[in-house]
Amino acid sequence: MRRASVENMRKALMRSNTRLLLSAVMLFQFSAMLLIAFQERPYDAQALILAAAIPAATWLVTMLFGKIWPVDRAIVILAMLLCSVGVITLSDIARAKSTPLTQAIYAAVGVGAMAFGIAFIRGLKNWKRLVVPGMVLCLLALLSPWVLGRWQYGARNWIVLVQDKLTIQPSEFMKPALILILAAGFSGRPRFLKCAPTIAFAALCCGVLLSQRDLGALLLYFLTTVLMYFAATSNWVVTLGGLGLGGAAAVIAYRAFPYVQTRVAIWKNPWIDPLESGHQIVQALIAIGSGGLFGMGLGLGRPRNIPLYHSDFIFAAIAEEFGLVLSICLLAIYVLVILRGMVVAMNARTSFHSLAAFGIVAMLGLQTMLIVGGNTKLIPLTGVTLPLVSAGGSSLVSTFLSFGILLGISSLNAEDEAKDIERMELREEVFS
Amino acid sequence: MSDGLYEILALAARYFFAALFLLIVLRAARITLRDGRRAKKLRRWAPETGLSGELMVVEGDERAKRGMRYPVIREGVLGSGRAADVRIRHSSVRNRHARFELTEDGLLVTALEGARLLSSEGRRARKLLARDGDSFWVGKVRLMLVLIDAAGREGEIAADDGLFDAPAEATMDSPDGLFGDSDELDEDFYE
Amino acid sequence: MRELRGKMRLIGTLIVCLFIGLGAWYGMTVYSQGSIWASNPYNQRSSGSTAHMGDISDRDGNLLAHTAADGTREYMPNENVRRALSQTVGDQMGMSGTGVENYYSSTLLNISGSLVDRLRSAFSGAERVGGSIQLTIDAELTSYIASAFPDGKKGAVCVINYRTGEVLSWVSMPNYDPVDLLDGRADDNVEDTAYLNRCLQGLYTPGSTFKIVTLAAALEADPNALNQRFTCSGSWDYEGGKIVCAGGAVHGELDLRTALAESCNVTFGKLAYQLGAERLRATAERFGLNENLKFGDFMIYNSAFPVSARNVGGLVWAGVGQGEVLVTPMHMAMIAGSVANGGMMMKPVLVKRIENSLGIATHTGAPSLYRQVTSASVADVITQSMYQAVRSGTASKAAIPGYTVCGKTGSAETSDDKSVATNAWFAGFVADPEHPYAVAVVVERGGAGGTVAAPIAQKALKKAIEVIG
Repeated sequence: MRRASVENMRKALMRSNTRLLLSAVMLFQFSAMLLIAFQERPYDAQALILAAAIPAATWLVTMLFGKIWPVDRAIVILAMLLCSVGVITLSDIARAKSTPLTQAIYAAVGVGAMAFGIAFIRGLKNWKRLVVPGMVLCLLALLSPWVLGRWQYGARNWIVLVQDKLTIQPSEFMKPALILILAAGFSGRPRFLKCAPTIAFAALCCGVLLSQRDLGALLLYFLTTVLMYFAATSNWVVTLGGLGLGGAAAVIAYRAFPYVQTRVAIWKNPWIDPLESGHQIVQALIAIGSGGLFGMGLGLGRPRNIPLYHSDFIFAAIAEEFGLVLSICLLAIYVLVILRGMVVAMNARTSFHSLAAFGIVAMLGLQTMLIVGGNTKLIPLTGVTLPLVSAGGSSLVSTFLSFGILLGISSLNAEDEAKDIERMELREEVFS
Repeated sequence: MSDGLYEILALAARYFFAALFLLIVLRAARITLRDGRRAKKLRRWAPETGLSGELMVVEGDERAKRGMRYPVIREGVLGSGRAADVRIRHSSVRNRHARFELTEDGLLVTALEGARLLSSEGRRARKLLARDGDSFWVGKVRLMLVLIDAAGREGEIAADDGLFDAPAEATMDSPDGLFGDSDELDEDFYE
Repeated sequence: MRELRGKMRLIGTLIVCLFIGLGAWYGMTVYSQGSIWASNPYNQRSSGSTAHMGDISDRDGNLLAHTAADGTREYMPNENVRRALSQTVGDQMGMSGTGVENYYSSTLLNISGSLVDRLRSAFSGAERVGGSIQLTIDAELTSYIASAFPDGKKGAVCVINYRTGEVLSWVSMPNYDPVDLLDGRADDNVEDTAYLNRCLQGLYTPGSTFKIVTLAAALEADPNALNQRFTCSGSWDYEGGKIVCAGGAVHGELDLRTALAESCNVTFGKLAYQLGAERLRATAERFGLNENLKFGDFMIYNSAFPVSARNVGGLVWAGVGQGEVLVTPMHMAMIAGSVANGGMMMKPVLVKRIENSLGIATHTGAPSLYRQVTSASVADVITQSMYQAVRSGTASKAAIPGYTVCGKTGSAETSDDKSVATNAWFAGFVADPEHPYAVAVVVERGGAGGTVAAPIAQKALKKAIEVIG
């Protein structure tokens, strides 16, 4: 009986076969890029290379990561799928050939960041000690655009490394750092006083972001903090109070800042001013409408009519070319990633890891909802991008980093489960 | 390729891509459901995973009798309430009595909101560190800690002896197929 | 940890539910609104296609737009006729977003996106020729009205058949020449707002023509109102202000019919006051104000009736069509038509027939009821009042000997500055089932409705009877 029960447990631990999923993903990547390669006459060399490289890279990363660490392979595959949807869409619609190439290169860097993330969280033992230096680093990084950066698109949150070629958005990179710091600060269900420094830090970050007019990141930081605090402490009073404060701040912002008012007015009725202020959302809605159920077809639409089609409105561009069915499936993929991430969070052994995984998943979910809602006129535009899909080096790399942390936690969970089985064996031998 | 031919291909490809994506979503959903069911099965057999040791009742009465054992996980809450990770049902133990956390040096127990926590010598403490074999009082119950690993060291990377690959016929390390899982793994095996 | 897990499960479920809600909302919105978004005039997806654009013709078969064998687009040979039809027919550059060439470009160019069509044309080797559209518009009537419109003034005229809902004529001044846009460059000499179709997109203060709606509301609220006698002493005080009749007129004692015929502001102000904001707004909304007027063939900008009566003055002046009330000329024509049609507002139809390149009809416009905006008996009373207006009231210049013309004039104030002339309005119809024509005229800064707009309407209706029958 002993043998059987451990055997059964081994079976129970078995992760499902991801073969079919991986093959389907690779097939999609290959066929889409192949079709794109034939948009040009006679063919587009870069797209052909990508048609081979992307599936190969997906396969390689999945195999490699799965061999080295016991990570959740399905999450890896889905992450690579999302990233490749971004590269594919950009190859299809971008004006310059360099845009998808840059995105692919950033993706490669991102995979490296993912590996780094896994290794980092696995090696992190003394997280409590790193909290204070982490906070300092984070604030410095957030403040750096004031020193090194400049205003762009109405916000000042970029640092230029190489003129016109390489820009970094520190607020993106600080997302995983913020989550880790919050997880460390909130773990162990401390009382409100103990949480205060962490909350103050988060508030400070939000303040810096507000001064830089990065409203999207601000919203994300704020909501993630509130959610993580509530999950960690179950303190309804403070949570609702925090939400109330946030709501009040939003109303004040609406009254005080004209650009917020414009955003809300455009959201309410963009059709009034379709050429000026409402232009973005009107063109996005037109594009989504033109797509219909199955899309206009790769290369047959005119997604370049949508302003910011490569970053903020890439979802509308995808809906136009690929259609309603596929774009809803894209949303479903995000939901699945979130579900698997939640499972990872639930199975974590320490509250720190649990909260970290939860924070990553929550932020991912919030970001996706904000951008899709903005694209479809459900909520006003907030300036966040679609994770892993939108063009943007900083966002891509930092999202990969977050995924790495999540995967690292999943690998820790897997190892703990293995240890448990050993101990069960031991226990049965010892105690029976 | 001419424009007309490309147009036709692209139009036909729309349905193909939509179908592929649907397939991907459904497959990923099925995998997630399967994993969820397996995790439930696992929890049924081994309700307290993350086991690092046990707390044994040395002195107690009512429903916390001497000799009863409570499995201890890495981090959690000790109390009499339903939500407690170590549930000691005794009148002197509050709903949420203390927090415990496994560190490198042992089990760190922190009393919550002035709950009664006494060290082995009988001194009242807010925080105490229990090592393997140490005992302490929670309310009116005396518990002794037994750790499975000698000092509860964390961070040992268990050798992944093929625990996560599909079971081969006889051995643990069967040659992996192209996609990592052994070819023998059959879809319908676990249903 | 269990508590932590419990909370995480809670929030996780919340997030997933929100996502599912988002996905469902997104799917449903695109499914229902997607085609409406795509037919927005600012959708440039169809321009620059390689297919051969189909013909646009009027109800008598006159070719309004045609693609020659060498690919050039041709319009009517006479420039005045072209200009009169410009906003209706549209142009090659999509400057007139509501024009048929832009709004129906996918039909005209046969960009159905259908794989089967594409395959068929690829195999047969035939160049894709777009479908042809026949409109309900009458070109002769339209060019006549345009020439009858006062020079140098801006405004609009709409003529419809109120029994079938067919649009017989749209005239929007100023206009432009679509031939100028054929070379792909926007003409700088064109007057500002010439590309706008004021019939559909011009929101104006209706002035006294709105009294039709107020009268309907009064009769619905109290059928006995006909027997009431009102007294007009030239002005009436309400809390916070007063309302005066136009031109300092004093109407003395009158009944409702005469009040409409003489356009007595005092009486209608009192009516609005008695009705209250709720009832007046309810009637206005039944007539189609505050509503998304998106029809199958085209879209009209929404007419507006103020939703909240902030003060008594707003309500009283709304009763005479001033204040925040806004109406498009097309909507006003539909309102007049519904009165003529026993209270039934028909769905407006612009497209009579669509034929594909093989000559097979793929769509035929058919009359259908949009809504019963008021009861037949109320409509009857209003008709009688409007007839009295033409016979002996302010609309006498719209009379056509031998025909029963009914109408309502309006002189809408658009500014507090008394030196700015009012917008001249007229809304009316021919009460004859053989000639079921309704018309709405607005002349910006034209002056008095009775002297400026009514004659235009008379000419329009007379010509309609002549050319259409």
